[in-house]
Amino acid sequence: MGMSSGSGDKKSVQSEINVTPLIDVLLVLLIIFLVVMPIMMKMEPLEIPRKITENEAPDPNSIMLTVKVKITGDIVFSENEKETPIAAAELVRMLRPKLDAVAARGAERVIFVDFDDSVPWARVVSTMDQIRSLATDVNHDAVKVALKVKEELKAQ
Amino acid sequence: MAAGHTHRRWRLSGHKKAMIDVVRNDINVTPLVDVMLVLLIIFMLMTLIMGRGHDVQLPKATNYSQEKDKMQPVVSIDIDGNLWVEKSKLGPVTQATLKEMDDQIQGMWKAPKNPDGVGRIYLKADDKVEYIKVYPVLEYMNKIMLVQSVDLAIAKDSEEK
Repeated sequence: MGMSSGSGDKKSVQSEINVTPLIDVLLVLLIIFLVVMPIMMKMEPLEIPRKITENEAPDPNSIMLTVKVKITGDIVFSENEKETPIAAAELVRMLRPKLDAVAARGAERVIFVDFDDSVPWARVVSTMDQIRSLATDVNHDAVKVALKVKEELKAQ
Repeated sequence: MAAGHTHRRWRLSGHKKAMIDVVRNDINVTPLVDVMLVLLIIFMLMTLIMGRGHDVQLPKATNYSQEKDKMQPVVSIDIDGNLWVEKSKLGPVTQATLKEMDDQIQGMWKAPKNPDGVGRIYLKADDKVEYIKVYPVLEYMNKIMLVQSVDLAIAKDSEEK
């Protein structure tokens, strides 16, 4: 190399940096990135149960818990068609004993959600998120959130 | 300048003749390091930028579940209510675009990149889009495509409570 012609050749001192550890570190970093590459997808699963056919008896132990979010931000909670309006902040506190009761009866912990047409998606997801906060397992999958199929659209 | 240059050249070649036995036999690592650095930067950028499907502003959540990418089809609904499958725009949600979405997803399920992704859909909807724009998509997936669970994409809420 030209640069060594000045002083390097005379004293024969290696003036280049030792690149071997540098390459080692780079290779390790590269491998780490290659391994991490399969991206982790963050999700909240929303169940969409198929419609129960008429000759199929629903589970007698299950209680249909439905949360309906209105555009005003108010929530109507209904338990087997019995409706109770509640404040948005009360949702989690309200649902906890209900879900415990469902679990005590041996049924699956499912909450149906329904929203007004113009509710923004962020509100939909935050409601689901609040419901899922009641599940204490790692993936928050013990409490299932199910979509309530709208009646008026069924006619189409 | 030119004269000095030739002079140095001459001196250099003279040197080489004298030290003919000293052959540098280690590989030249400089280009190797260059390539590695470039690869590293590419991978770093890819991990930062790469997201599947159309890029939308995802709603924030804390109680999410996390999974490795199963290469399931990604459906997106942008802020204007347009439907996207992976990176291709299908247009506003109508029966025709939903059918188109169905066809594309069925195609992806038939030739899956990862068998675990078959029967699953990852739905990315913009956090400001109205429920009524997303609902027909969910309903279609349930009624026509017989999907019983849809994975809703969220973004990690950085300010956790």
